[in-house]
Amino acid sequence: MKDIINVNKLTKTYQIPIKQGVLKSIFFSNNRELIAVDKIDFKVKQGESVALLGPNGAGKTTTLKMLTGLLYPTSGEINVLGFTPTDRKREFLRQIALVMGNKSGLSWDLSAMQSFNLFKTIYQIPESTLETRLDEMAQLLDIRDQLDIPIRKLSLGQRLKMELIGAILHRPKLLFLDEPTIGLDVVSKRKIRGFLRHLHREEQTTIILTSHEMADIESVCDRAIIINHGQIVFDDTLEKLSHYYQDKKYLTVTFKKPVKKERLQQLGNVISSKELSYTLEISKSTQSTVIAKLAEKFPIDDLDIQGVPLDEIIEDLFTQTKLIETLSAEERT
Amino acid sequence: MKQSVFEPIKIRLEILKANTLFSLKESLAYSLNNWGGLASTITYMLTYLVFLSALYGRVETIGGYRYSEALLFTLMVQLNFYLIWVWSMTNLEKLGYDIKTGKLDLILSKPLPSLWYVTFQKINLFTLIVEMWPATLPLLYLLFKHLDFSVTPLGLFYGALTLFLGQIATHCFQFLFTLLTFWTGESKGLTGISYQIAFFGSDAIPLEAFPKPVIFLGITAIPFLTHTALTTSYILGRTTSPFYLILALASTTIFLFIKIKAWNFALKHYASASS
Repeated sequence: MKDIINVNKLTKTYQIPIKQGVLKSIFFSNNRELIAVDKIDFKVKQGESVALLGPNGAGKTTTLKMLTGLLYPTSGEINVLGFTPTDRKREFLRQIALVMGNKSGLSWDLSAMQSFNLFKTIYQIPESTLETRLDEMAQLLDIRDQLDIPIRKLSLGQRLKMELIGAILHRPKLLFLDEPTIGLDVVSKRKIRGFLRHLHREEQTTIILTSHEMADIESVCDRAIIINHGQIVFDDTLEKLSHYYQDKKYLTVTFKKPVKKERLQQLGNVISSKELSYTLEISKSTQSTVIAKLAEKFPIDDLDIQGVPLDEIIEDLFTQTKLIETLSAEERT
Repeated sequence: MKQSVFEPIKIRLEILKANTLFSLKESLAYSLNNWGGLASTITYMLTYLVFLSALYGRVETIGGYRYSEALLFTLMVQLNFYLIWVWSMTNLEKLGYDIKTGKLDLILSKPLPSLWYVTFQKINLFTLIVEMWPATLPLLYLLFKHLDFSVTPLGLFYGALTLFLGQIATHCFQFLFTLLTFWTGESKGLTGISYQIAFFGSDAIPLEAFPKPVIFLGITAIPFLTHTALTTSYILGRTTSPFYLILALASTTIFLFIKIKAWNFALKHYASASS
C-alpha cells in the first residue's frame, strides 16, 4: 500500500493573548507564541486506520486541521493524497471528509435529507447513487425513520449519525474524525464504532481519528500516534503499545470470606479493594507463583487476570514521555 | 481530465441555485417569525411615509428633491436595503459567526469555491418576496399618485448599473470589515460600523446635497453614495454624465480584487476555533 499522508517536520505556532490590564486590553492585545505542533514526522498508508491521541492541548486537533488544509503550517511539509492540503484543490477536497463531534455541518432547521440534497450538488453525486448509498448507510446506523425530521428535533446521537452519513455520501478515500462519539450514550457509541469499522474494512476508507474514548480507538484503529506537548511520543500499532506493558498484570481475586489486606500485600500491590474482592498489581513472571500461593492460603471464589487497559497505558505515556523515548531508543538498538 | 473553462461558472451557478433553494426552505421553517417580520416592515414603512408627508406639508423641496422625487429616493433606499440584506448582510453575519465558532471548518473542507460559497451561502428570497413587496406597496401607490417627473431609458439604464455596482462595492467594503473576525474573533461591532459607514445618510440625503469631494469619496474609497444616491440621481436625470458611472465601475473592480486578495490572506491566518 502506498503512503497517502506524508508529514515532514510539521510545526504550528499560535499567537496567544497575554493577560494584561483591563483598560489596555480594550484597545490593544499583546500576544505570546505557543508551539502547538513541534516538528512532527509521520506517514500513513492507504487503508490504515490511525488514532491521533494526546491530552487536551497536545496538538492532535491542530495536526488534523493541518492535514485537512484548514490551518496553514508555520513550517514543514504535508502531502495528503498527492496534494498540499492548503492549496484546497477541488480534486483533493472531493477525496476527503471531516467530521467533528461538536460541530454540525447540517442545517439546524432542515431535515438531514434536505442537507444531503445540498451535498449532492456540492459533491456532484448522481441521484441514483445517492439513494443507494443513503439506503445502505441509514440501514447500518438504523436511522431510516429520522431522515425527514428537522435536525433540531433529533437527539445528539441521531444528529451525529446524520453528520457521519453526510460526510461519507461521496465515498471519501480519507476520513478525518475529531472526537466523533463525544457526549453520546453507550448504544450510539457502539453503533458509530461499528459503522466506522464497516467503512474501514468493507470500503477500505483510510481513517484518521482523534478521541479520548479508548473504546473508539480499540475498535476502530490499528495504529496509534501519541502526541504530547506538540511532539510525537509514540507511533506504532496498538499491539506494540500494549506489548510495552505486557509484564504488568492486574489480578482480581474474589474470596469466599473476608481476608486481611496486609496478607495480600505480601503477594502484590493492592490497588483496589471491596468487601470480598481485591485487585493486585503483579508482574507476568510471578503470576503463576502468586496464584499458587493464593490458592494454597486463601479461600478463593473467583480469579480474573487482565493486562493493563489501553487508557491507562496512554495516561502513563502522557506523564512519562521520557520513558517511551528510552524504550524507542532501546528498540532501535 | 482537463476541466472545461465553463466548469467553474457551472459549479458556481449550481451552488447559487442550491443555496437559494436551501435558504428558502430554512426561511419557511419558522412561519410565525416570518409574519412578525412582515408586520414590522409594514409598520416601519407606514411610519416613514407619514413622516415624509408631514415634512413635505411644510416645505417644497428637501436637498433639492420634490415630494415625488423623495418618494422615488425612498423606493431606492428600500430596494437597496432589502437587496443588501438578502444576499450580503445575512452572509456577512453568517461568516462572522462561522469564523468565531469554527464552523467555517466544515465549509473549507468541502470541494467548494469557498469565497463564492460564503458570499452566497444564504440567499433569503423569502424576505425579498414576502417582506419587501407588501411593505413597498403603499410607497408605490403614493409615488404613482404624485408622479410629476419623467424617466429616460438611458437614465434608467445608468441607474440600474449604479445600483448593481453599488451593491457589490458596498458588500466588498463591509466584507473587509467582517474579515477582521479572523484576527479579532468577533464581528458584530465591526459589521455594525461598516454598515453605518456604507449606508451613511443613504436614507435621507440626496447626491446633490453633498459637495463634490465628498461625492468622489462616496463613490470610490467609501462607497456609500453609489448604491442609492447616485442611482436615484441617474434615474431622475439630475446626473447625466457617465463619469460617475465609470468611477463606480473602476472602484467596484478594485474592491472585488481587494476582496479576493484579502480572503486568501485571511485564510492563511485562520486559527479555527478549537473544538
